[in-house]
Amino acid sequence: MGMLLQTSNKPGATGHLAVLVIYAGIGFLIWRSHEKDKQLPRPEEMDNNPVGRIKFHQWWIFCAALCISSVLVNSMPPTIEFFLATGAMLVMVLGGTAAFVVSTVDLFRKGKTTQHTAEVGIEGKYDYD
Amino acid sequence: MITAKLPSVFQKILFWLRLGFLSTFFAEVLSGSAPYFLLEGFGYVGIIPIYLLHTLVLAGLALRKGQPFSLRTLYFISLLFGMYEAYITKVLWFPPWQPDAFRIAGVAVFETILLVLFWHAIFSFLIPLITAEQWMTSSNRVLRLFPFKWQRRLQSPIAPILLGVFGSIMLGSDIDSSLTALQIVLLNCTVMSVILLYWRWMTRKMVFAFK
Repeated sequence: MGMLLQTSNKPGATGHLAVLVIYAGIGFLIWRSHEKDKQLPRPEEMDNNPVGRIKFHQWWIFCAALCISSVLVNSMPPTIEFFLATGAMLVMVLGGTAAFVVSTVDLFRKGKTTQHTAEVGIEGKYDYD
Repeated sequence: MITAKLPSVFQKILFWLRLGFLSTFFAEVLSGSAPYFLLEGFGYVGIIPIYLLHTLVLAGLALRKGQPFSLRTLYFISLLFGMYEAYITKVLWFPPWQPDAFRIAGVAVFETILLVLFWHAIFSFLIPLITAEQWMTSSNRVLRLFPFKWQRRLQSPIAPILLGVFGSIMLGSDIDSSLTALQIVLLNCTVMSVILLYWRWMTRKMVFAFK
């Protein structure tokens, strides 16, 4: 990000307006979503059963996967590396679009907000006693 | 015997700093944009504060005391994170890696989708928020918002493996050699591990909730 602080490029009035419209759109979605969330149970009713810090070994798995695959990815021929990077870009564009569409459809759908009250990670419960 | 206890202001500040480090790590290191942010002065005066403040303000907006919220609201709030790429970095108007990007009203469309709807929403905000809560507190407010099958998937060993592989592909697209990539990953993982382990050691006799 440090290298990306561009000072020479300046957006025109249309560019500014477009970004302000995006801000307004996001603001509207947040407000509308908050309004719809008011029908949900208050967090105090759900937060009285802390299950503790669980599964820290996920961090070590993540670090190991990152180390191993960083070496593997950079050792691959440029063509495969290019396809992997393109695939990742595609995943991000499609994933982002899907997440936005699903959330927006859920917001404007009639009926209550889905609430997932199932307990988290029973088997990973941290034993404090 | 471990008792529930309210964190002190000092502990809260330390927690917030760690949240900022996690956000910067997932967003800037895995994207390859600022892999050495820990070694650069600008990392401490520019990059980390931007991520830290965004995460704190947006998480504060979502996790307001006593206010119910859904995963949908959290996602919409996370969209504001990526908007810093407009007025601070100007990337939404002028993506440096794609000068002839497809634009509508001066805004690069695919880069905006990629950065606002996915990268900063997921990697800069949601993943750091989930990991910070899971690894550093005793509550489950964020993970509990997901459907139950997703909660199980996110807690399985497959999730961090997929995250690591995906991150290495993103990092690899900006790094030339495997040795450099390994150096970057080892440096950042070691520092982040020390930061997280120290927090867990410091709070080993306390029970904190994410509120």
